[in-house]
Amino acid sequence: MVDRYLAILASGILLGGIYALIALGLTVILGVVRIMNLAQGAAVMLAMYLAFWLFKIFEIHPYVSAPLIILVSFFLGVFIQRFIVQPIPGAIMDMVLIATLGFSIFLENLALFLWGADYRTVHTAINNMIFRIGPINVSYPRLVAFIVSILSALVLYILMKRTMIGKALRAVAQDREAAELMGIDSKRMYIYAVGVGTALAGLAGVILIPMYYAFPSVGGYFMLAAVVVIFLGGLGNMIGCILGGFIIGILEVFSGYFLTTALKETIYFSAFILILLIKPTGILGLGKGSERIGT
Amino acid sequence: MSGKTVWAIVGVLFLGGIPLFVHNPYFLHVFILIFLYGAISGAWNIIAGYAGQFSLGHAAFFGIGAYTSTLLFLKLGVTPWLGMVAGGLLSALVSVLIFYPCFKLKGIFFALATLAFGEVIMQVSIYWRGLTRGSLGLMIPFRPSFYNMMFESKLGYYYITLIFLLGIIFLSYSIENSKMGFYLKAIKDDEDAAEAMAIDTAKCKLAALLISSFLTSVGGSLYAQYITLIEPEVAFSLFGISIQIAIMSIIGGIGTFLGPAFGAFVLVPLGEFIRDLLGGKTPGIHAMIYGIMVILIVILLPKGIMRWISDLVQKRPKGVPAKG
Amino acid sequence: MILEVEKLNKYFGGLRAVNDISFQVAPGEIVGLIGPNGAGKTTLFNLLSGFMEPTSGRILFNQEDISRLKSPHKIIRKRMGRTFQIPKPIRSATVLQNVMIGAFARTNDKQEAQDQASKILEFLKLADLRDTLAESLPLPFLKRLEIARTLATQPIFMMLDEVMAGLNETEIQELISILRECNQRGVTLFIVEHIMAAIMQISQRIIVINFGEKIAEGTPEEIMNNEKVIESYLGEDFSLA
Repeated sequence: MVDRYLAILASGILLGGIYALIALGLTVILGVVRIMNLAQGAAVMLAMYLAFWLFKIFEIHPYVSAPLIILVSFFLGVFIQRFIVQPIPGAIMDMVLIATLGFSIFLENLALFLWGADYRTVHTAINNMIFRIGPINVSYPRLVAFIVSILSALVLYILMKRTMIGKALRAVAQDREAAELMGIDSKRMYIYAVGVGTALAGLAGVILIPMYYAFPSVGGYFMLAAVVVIFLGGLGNMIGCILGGFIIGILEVFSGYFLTTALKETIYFSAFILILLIKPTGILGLGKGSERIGT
Repeated sequence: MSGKTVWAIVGVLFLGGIPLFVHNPYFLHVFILIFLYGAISGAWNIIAGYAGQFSLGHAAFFGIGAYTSTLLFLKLGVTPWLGMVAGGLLSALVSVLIFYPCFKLKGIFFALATLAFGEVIMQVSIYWRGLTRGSLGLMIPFRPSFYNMMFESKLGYYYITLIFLLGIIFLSYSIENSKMGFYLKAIKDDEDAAEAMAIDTAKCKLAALLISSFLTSVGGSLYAQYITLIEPEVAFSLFGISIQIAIMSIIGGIGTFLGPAFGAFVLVPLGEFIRDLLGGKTPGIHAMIYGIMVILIVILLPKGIMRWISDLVQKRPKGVPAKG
Repeated sequence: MILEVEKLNKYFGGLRAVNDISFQVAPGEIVGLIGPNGAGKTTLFNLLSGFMEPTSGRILFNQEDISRLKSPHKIIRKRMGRTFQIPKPIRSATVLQNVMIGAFARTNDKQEAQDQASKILEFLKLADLRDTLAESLPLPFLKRLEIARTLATQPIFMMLDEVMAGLNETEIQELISILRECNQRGVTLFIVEHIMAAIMQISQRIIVINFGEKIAEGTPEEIMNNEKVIESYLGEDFSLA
């Protein structure tokens, strides 16, 4: 009996890791550029397709093509910031939301046009490998997903705190004008930030494809989940983001198991609503102005 | 007679007269959609544009309206004319119980909370198969009569939706120029300052919400009567309704009484035209172009179409005193 | 007494922002409130006007206990007015429209609100700017606009939060004469100010607070010679302009 619960828990944690990864990307963008990139889900979707096609045509396993895909995703983010967000006069929040939304509609339908609505996934030998951790069976792709999520979060953390670029990004996040006075090109920093954000989404896509299906609207689904996660964890709060991801993942898997899967979204939406009404700054929210990157 | 009134009369006569010249049912269909979307975008504008509360869950009211009037008609034979009022009242009730408590959340928190509620309500309606037949949807048997709010030709629907749109435009105009409009503007800009002006911000926001949800619901009822088939994924759709009306209002010019209608006049034909041109053969292209158009409009006309037009008309550079 | 404050306290967690403050204001007075930065002046305003709830203590406005009223608009309705330290106009509305919003507190008729607002604009010498958008106004005019729309609500008691900051000598004198005129028309004034010369000039009585506590109260002359007051300002950069 306990075994079953543990298995479900493990499943939730692994799913949560992925949500956390996508949400981390959103957090970086939100924290530095102060915009909500509604095309994040589409970035995940494109990465999944790219990994699929590289596998199908060239037989390159997603884990191998990962660096390339991450790079491409990075440049997608660069494109978004430079050619879609930056040109908007005044960077009015509503307009940025609509523009990135428009772009995600474009990307989703581009995928539909190019590749049709069929579900695609990558079948490799690795998919079916199973590890045994204690009393539970964990499938290899899911384990990889989890480890990669944690590692990425660590790498991101180190990037933000220790490297020059990271410090520059944080400087711009805290006070754009002051950063400019110190010679930091804030426009370029914004572009990097969005690039990093979408690169994370790309990474999420890569580790998803071996165990999940790619289809044009898969992006929207993850987008919604990721947004719920960042609010749960507190806007701009990286650790909260990860915790939030796990909570949502666990919540979803548990409610999918005990209630019907039809209502699983309802459950975590409801939880989200409750949190917003009780503690709007998220679980680890630091109160007003907690839109600071890093903790 | 002021210039504005002249324009208004011309506009009404023009729109009312279109069916005299245009007989193609497809074009009339597009107009009906324009009017319907323009109307519910206008309803959204009342709470979002005037009061500054960006709800992304308005599909909930649309769907409640559609299902209430339809169920009352199918099961009890109640005329949709009354059914839509019932739906409106139910939506207003839901808005008070569910959306109103969210008002204490600011900005994007409010938007996401309402989005979540909209989604929950959709899931519930899918799940409550006993009442709604879930994803199978409900069909209204086509028996044209005034009582049934169903018509042989498109003209009946044309004029009903047109009157609905004009009504909302007129209502928005009245609100904008009334004490309530001033108060909502104050609340939108800074709630503390509004309170310091003796404005009961809670009461004002509630009033705007009630009006907005009621009208959106009526739109849903009209839609149900026109299409005669409703499904939860469509009637409660986040992208199809909630986000659509937000995009139309914002692009047309949020917070103006004509903005949402303008947005509908631009985006609905765009969507339909592109889909007609390309949709059948190659799936996805029309939406792709739709997405690009949205981006272009946002970049080129960030203040919305209405503001752009009024700036052009008044040749107003920044800093120069405005004419009221 | 138009305002009676009895042992007012406000804690933020462990921090005591307002500590056991008591004072009274008689109708028709002009009372000044001074104190170093962070002394608690704006917090006091927020408590009196209902933007914050006191931790303990009583506030009587016109002999009515308003201590537990949660919504500021209810208090403002009782004819209390307040301005904000950083002006909060409705940026996308014109000067006239801004003042009309205040006027609507006393009438439901748009024309009447407009007439009232116009009169107040005349009074505050803002009439030329009536059709200018508030967002394009420089600070001194924004401050006057704050006063104008607060006046439009026809308060009998008005709290002004640093309305003279950023004004030059002429503008200050203009404002002082406007405020005196308001007072003569029956408005009790409670003014927070950093500009010493101005507040000494206009106030009949001054209350001094520091670290959330009342440390002195008296006429301007008494306050200027009060040792505790001078001490609390030592090292503080206060303007004698």
